Amino acid sequence: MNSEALLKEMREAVIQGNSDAARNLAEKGLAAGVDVNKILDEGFVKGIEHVGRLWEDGEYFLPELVRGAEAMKAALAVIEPAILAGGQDRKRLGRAVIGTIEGDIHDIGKTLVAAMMTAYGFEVTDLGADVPVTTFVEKTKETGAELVCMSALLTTTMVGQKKVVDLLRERGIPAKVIVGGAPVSQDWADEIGADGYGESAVAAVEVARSLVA
Amino acid sequence: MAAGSAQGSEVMATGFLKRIEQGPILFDGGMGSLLIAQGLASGEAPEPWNVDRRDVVRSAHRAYYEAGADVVTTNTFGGTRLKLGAKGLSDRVVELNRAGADLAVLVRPEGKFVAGDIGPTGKVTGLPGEVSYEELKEIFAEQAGILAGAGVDLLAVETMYGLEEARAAVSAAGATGLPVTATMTFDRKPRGFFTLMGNQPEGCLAALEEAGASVVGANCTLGPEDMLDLLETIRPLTSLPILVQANAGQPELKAGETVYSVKAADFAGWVGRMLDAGAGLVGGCCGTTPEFIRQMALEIEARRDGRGGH
Repeated sequence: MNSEALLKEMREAVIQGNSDAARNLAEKGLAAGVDVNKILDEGFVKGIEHVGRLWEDGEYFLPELVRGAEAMKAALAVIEPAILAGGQDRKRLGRAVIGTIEGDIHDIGKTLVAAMMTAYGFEVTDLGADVPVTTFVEKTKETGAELVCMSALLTTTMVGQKKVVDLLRERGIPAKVIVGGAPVSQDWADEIGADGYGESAVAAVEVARSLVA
Repeated sequence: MAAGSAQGSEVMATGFLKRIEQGPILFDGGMGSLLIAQGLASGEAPEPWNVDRRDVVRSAHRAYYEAGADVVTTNTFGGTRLKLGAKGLSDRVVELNRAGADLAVLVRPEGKFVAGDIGPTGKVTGLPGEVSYEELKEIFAEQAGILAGAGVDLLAVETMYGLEEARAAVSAAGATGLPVTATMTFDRKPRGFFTLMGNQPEGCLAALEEAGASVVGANCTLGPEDMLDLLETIRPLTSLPILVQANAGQPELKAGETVYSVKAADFAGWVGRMLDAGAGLVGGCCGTTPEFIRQMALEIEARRDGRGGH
């Protein structure tokens, strides 16, 4: 199979949410000597971007989204060791801490952003949902992350995003902050002193890349 | 209110279904925002207030009855073992559900009703590592049993975003012998109304009826205008009475406070149109307050007078 056909299959595996296929294709690609950046950027990342668009267009729903992210993770589990083994170079974009703020159990958008950021070459620490303000700040310090990404899906919880920004600044931690989630807007990001706002998962990753560029 | 003089939960149970036939039933509005106004912190589970701040929860129920609600909903939305467990409260399932039901039952005026509230677990079915239908059914049966044992008149399964979980909840709730209202939450997408899990109303209504719901419908997510559209979509699809509870529009944050875009009088106007479009039971969801319910009661009254009863 030529590498173009292989890359297309990689995209399809993620779009179809087929973890087994994604894992096998990642192995096949590495064995065939396809450049790891190409495998990610033109294969799996394109797939997860497509999933994100289908989600935003109302064509995909939670099950398809989660399966797509799972397939992405399955591929990354194969590719990451290859990168670490030093056999191939992957551009490292930076380190990020990501989570949904305290009081909020909504996981979906955040998980998609985490999967896409990892795929693009960020080293992502996913703190999950319902993350306390202090945990965000402590993990940021501990990992030396350049980026803190916070989701909030409720107006009652989005105020927690402000607390994280305040505490980061108070402790003199220089990390940049990106906020997202249904009730969040650019105005809100400006108001609380965040560095970026992602209207969608795709946009959030774009903002993340621009902030570390 | 005119209703049977009989008391006792079994008689009241059939009383609720009878009452539906006599004309529109008014449910209550939001609980969370009332608790937040009294100091419930962001991220704090509301159910422990059934024990620690009984006065606040009881006042909320009373305010809704006084505003004209026929049904108030217990403060047990997150009372399943799974949801409470996420807050480290899984050892308080019996205590908090029991206390929640007691608070509402104690202030229930004669001829009015208490709905035991059952919300989603926060988990999803059908994905790797998540919970199964059978497990969900057991979890809902536990909560439903406690609420029924405490003397609620009906069980309100609400804000369900996946059909499988909704079916598990309705089936478990129905096993108590109480009437069950089942509402799911739909969002408006380019291709129509969908739940988060991708279920469309067409399939949901039939499945909920089959699972044993006496009333079906929708709540949360949508403002009143979209909810009216949804109602018009689902009205021809079921012969069961329909319950709709919209949000007070979309939440906005203004100067650190959550504000909803639709005011009480306008909301009540929409509810009037929902009644005209065939809703048998109405109420409010996020952002609605006793004032919303009071204005909705006026809408219902106006229709009752206008038509000389149903």
